[in-house]
Amino acid sequence: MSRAVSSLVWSLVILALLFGGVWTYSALTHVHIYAGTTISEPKPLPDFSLANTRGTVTTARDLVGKPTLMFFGYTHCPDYCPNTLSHIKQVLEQLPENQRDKIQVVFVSIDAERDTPEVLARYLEFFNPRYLGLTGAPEETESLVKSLGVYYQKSGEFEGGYFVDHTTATYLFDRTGNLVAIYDYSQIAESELVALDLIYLL
Amino acid sequence: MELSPPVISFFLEWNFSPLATGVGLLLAGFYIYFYRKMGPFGLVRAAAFFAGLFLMLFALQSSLVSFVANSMALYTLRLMILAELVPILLLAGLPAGVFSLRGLPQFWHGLFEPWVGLVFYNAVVIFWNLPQPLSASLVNATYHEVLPWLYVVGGIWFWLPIFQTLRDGPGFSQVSRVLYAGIGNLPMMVIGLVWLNSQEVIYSPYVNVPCLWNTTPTDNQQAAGVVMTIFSTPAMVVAVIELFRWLLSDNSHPEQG
Repeated sequence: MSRAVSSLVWSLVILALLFGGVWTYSALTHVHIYAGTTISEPKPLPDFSLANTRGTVTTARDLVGKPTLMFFGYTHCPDYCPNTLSHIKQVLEQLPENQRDKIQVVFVSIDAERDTPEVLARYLEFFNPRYLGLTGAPEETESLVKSLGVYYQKSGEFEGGYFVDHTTATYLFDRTGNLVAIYDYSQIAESELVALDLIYLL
Repeated sequence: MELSPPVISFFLEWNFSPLATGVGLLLAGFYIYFYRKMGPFGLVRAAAFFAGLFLMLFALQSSLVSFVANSMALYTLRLMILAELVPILLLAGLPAGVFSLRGLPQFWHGLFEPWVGLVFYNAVVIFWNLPQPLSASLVNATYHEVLPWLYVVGGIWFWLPIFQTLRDGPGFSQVSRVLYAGIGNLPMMVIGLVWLNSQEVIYSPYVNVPCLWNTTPTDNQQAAGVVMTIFSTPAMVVAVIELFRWLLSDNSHPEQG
């Protein structure tokens, strides 16, 4: 066998072994890479208790059992909040109809001053009546906000109102209530990929 | 987690890894044994070998490892140390003649043909810098464990023929040497330049994490690009030297008359 043929044969053998090993390993361990930032060590939801748009109170325990997409915003938001909620609506539309109810979408207001449960309910109805809205004073949302690293702060005021600067990430929790991925504003718009993540969790 | 760790802390805080320590001790033991048996081959060589060994243990066990999820630049630096610096220093520490295949059955000789190592090394570099595999290497602990070793083995395999040629005479033709060294780190250089010039964060695990030293994910990716590009240059330097040696040699000119 000439040197060139020998090199070629050995190269192919080495590549087959390398990628065969990778394939076998992936098949055995079922590694799922989320379309957002994957959280390598899933982190549980902290304890919280917030008023919801259904007239009751929601705690961390209530969110266990279904995969949950959680977003922080406010109803007077002119851009990111309505856009993200629309993107999430598109994500759900990618799922088979019988699976859409198995996903929870939670919108947490960071503007309790204006977002009462009633205001929040009317706002969310526009996107999807099944979305759950949560609201509470800053001290009530503090554990959730701190645990997820959410930032918000009142910013520019205008006649009769004000804006709130805030984190625009969407958080994905698995059935057990563990944070498994974070989507930034551009990633959540990739509805087909996010839907695949949800199907994986279902 | 401390997001502005002082650089000195990487050298002071180590996390013990039985595998890395075991391999390190084994290599050190072999080296000392052969150093005494084959006669001393110079303190500079020994210093190079043990510097390579130290850097390998540093990249595998120091606190650098715990920060790679928050800094793509550190992730790249760690793997580049293992892929380029460690193999070069380890091989530089070995004496001439040690690379002989005498005694090895003919069947296995093909495994040590230069191009086989180059293919393996570049397969590792290209595949594990594609978005999905790179994400997996960050997220999954086993990839995290295996990948650094693939870089070490790939780096040694790639650099071995270059050292073999430098030490033990002509391993392959002058033109092949130029091509080998030139092509060898080309994918790495291309990847580095893509990172350096990309305006978007390519790898999803780095999009939403707080980055070390208050940098943005894009800055971090660009820094990783600089690191990758710098580490891709040694083979290019070899290629340029070999190219000039070839151009200045008589063989590069077609025979006249």
